[in-house]
Amino acid sequence: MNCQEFWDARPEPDNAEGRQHLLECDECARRMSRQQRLEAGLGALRQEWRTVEAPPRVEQGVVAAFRSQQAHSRSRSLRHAWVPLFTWATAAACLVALALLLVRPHEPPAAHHINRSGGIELAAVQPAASAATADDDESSSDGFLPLPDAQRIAPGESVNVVRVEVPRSAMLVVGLPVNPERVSELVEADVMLGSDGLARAVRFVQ
Amino acid sequence: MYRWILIGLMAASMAAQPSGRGGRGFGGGRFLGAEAGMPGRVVKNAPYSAELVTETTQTLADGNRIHQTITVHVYRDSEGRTRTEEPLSGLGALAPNSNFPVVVFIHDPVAGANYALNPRNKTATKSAWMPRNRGGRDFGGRGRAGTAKPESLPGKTVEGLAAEGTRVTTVIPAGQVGNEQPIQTVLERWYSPDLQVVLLVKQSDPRVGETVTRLVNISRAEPPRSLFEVPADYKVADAGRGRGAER
Repeated sequence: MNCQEFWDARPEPDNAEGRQHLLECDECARRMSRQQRLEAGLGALRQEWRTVEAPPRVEQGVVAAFRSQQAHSRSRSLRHAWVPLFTWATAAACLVALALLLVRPHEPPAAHHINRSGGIELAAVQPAASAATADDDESSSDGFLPLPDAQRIAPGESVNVVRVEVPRSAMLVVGLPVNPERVSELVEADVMLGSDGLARAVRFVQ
Repeated sequence: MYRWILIGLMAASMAAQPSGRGGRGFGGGRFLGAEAGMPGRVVKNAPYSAELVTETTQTLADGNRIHQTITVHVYRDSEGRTRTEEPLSGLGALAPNSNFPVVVFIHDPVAGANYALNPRNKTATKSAWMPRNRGGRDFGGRGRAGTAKPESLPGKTVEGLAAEGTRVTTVIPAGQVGNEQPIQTVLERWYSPDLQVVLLVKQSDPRVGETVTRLVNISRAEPPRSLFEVPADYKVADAGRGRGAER
């Protein structure tokens, strides 16, 4: 048996002829030894990670993202029929957008949240009003979701809120589903801060 | 031909997009506004100014370490007004690589108003004073697991002030969260009855790492009154009204 015949017979070379070849060929013996060590390591790893599971929120997020991908691929074939129309519609939309951009002064896209004086409208954000009643809830009636490892807001501690625009991928931090195709888009979020300046909870506005 | 026209139009529209949107860094976020929320407990006749420094240290499985420090400047006057200057770097996980401004929050129980100031564009958001809730709010889902054992610690001096200490040790039994061995977390807190403020908090959790928050550079002098007022050249808007209250 030569080397080629030995490896062609894998994964079942465990016969007298195969064992004899390993005794005669140092190269194949070394390679066989490396392969056995790798298999043993993978087996140990498989055993060690047998009980490891993703948190329920992450699992839900992955399932939701998978379903949205499936829906996307189902509709893909349908969309192909509309390519010419879509191309012309896109061109028309680009023309309109270009005209608007050239005619109107530049302003931030989130201007509808900013009033004339530059302040923001956080009327719905009343962390104080709901804080005491939401002690045992993972999320509260005001829509704030606790950040992983966030500390308790202590009695007597002040709380403030900032509104920021963050990458949509930030939603993954609290286990919300994110469409992989939109992961780099921006989304508005209210972040609740403790008196130490650390973020405690987040609420996504859009 | 049409394809090239379309590509040209799209490129032109992209080039016409405004640049420099509020100092957002690559892959980061953008600051839109702030609102002072629930005030802390009102403490009178104990003025101070200090820095509240929070250090978090996380050791990864490969021995690598992540160390972060956040410094918040805090002030309180004899009337119980408070001012905090927060760098917003505590938003790290949500918006890494961001260039957020320092935001100033003023809680004024005398005037019955709260303000959030953005020094970068000299704007302020005013919100009405709201009564404090008695309870806290548990945002630590992990903290609820296990059995907590509180204990008092012998008094000691922290940052030159006499402090009372408490320690809460929580043990999560093996198997409760899929853990092979029990997990022990420790929360140690040192409080100054004189200044009526927490001076030092140490938290240790093998799943998260260590977090130490300490009040340093404490001055007990009365802070300037102007620190608790909105500067005259700021534009002030009422929160949640949709219209500005310019002054």
